[in-house]
Amino acid sequence: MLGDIARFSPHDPDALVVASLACPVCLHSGSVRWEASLRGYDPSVRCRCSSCHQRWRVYLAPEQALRLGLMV
Amino acid sequence: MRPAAAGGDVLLTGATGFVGMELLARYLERTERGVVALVRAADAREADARVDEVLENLFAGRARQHRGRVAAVPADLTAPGLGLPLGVRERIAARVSTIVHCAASVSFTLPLHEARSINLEGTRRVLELAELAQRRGGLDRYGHVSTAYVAGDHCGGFSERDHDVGQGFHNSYERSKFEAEHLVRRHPHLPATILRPSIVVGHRTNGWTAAFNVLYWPLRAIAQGLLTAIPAYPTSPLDVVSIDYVADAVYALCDSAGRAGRTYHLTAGPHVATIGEIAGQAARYFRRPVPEAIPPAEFAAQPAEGAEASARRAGAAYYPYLSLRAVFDSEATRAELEPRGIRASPLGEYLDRLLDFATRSRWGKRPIARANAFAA
Repeated sequence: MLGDIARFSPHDPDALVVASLACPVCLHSGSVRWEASLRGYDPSVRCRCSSCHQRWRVYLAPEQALRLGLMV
Repeated sequence: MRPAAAGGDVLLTGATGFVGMELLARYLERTERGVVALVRAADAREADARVDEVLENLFAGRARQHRGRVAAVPADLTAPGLGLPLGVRERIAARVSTIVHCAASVSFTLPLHEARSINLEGTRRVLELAELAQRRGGLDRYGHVSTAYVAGDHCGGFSERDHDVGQGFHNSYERSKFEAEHLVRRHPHLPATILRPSIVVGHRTNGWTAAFNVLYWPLRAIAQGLLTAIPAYPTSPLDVVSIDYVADAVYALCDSAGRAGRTYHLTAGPHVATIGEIAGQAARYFRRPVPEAIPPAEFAAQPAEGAEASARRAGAAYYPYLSLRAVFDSEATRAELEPRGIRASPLGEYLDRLLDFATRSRWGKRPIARANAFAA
C-alpha cells in the first residue's frame, strides 16, 4: 500500500484538506473514499479511489488529525 | 522598518527560471528598485554564483552595472521558514513591498507528493513571508504565478473568476498548482494577484527561449520527421503565449495595472491557434509532411516502431495538451493591459522565429544567451 504524509495545515479550508487526500495515481479527489484512524500514536487516513481502485494511507501530524476530526 | 512609501524592494522567487529571469530583467531595466532573489542554493556563495550566471545570460557585459541591486539569498522553498533564519526573514520582510512568486516545479511527471512539496508547500512558505512583510513594513502586492492549466480537463469556457469547477487533472503539476491557488485565495487580507499564463514559448522578436518543453517537443519531432501522427483533434485550441508578453504582463499587473484579489489569464485570447494550424506551419517550415491528427484513443491503439515509437514515448507527458477542450477567457486581463500596449500576438506571426531560434540553438543543446540573442 502506498504511503504519504498529509500536506495541509490546520488553518486550511475544507476543500484543501480534502484535496490533500486526492488519489496519487489518477489525481481524482471526488472519488476518494477515506476512513480516518485519528487516535493513538500515529494517526492516519486509509484512502481508496473508486476511479482507479488504488489504496493508500496518509499519515497525519497531531494538529492535522484534530483538523480532520472536525470534518468527520 | 522601511518607509511606507511604495518602491521598496521586490522579492522574486524563481529568478533563475525562464519566467523569473525575464521578469528580473524588467525590474532591473525599468526601475531603480532593489531585488531580493531567493535562490535554491546551499550557501551564499552558491546563491551569488547562480545570480551572476543569470545576469550574465541576461546582460552580458552590462551585468555588472545591475549586480549591486540584486541580493542573492540562499533559500529552500520546501523547508520551514524557507530555510532562512528568523533574523534574515525579518530583514527581508522589512525591506520588500512587492513579492512575485515564480518558483515552481514545471515537471509533469513528478510524483504528487514531490510536486506538492514545491508548488503547494513552497507557496505556503512564501505566503508566510508575505504576511510577515505586511506586518513589518507594508506589502503592496503579492503576485502568484500560476498556470491557466489549473483548468485541468475542464471542457468549454474557463474564466478568470473560475477556479474549482469540478475538473480533473492530467498530471501532478496541474493539481499542485490548483491547490496552491486555493491556498492563495485563503489569504484575502493579502494584496494578492494570481497570474495564469498558458504554454509559454520564446520571445516573439527573436525566438529566444531558455526552456524547450511542452510545445517544443512535437515541433522538434516534426523537424526530425519522426511524427507521422499526433494524438489530437485538428480543431483543438492550443493556447500559447510568448515569454515577453508574459513577463510584461506580470510586471504590469504586479504594479499599478493589476488589482489585488483578481486573477488574470495571460493567454492568447482571441488569437488562440489550433493544433492543425500549428502542425501545418511547422511542417511547411521544416519541409516535412503534415502529421495526421488522430483522436487520442485511436492514437494509443495505433502501433509505432523504431524512432517514431521512441519519440512518442518521450512526448507522452505532453499529449494531453494536444487535445484540450478548455477555452480561456482573458477579458479582464486585456481590459487592463491593452490600454498600456501589452497584448499577446497570434502564434502564427512568430512561430517561424521560434523555429529559427530552436534550430540555431539545436533545441537547447547549444544554449544561446539572451544577451547574445538580442545583440544579433
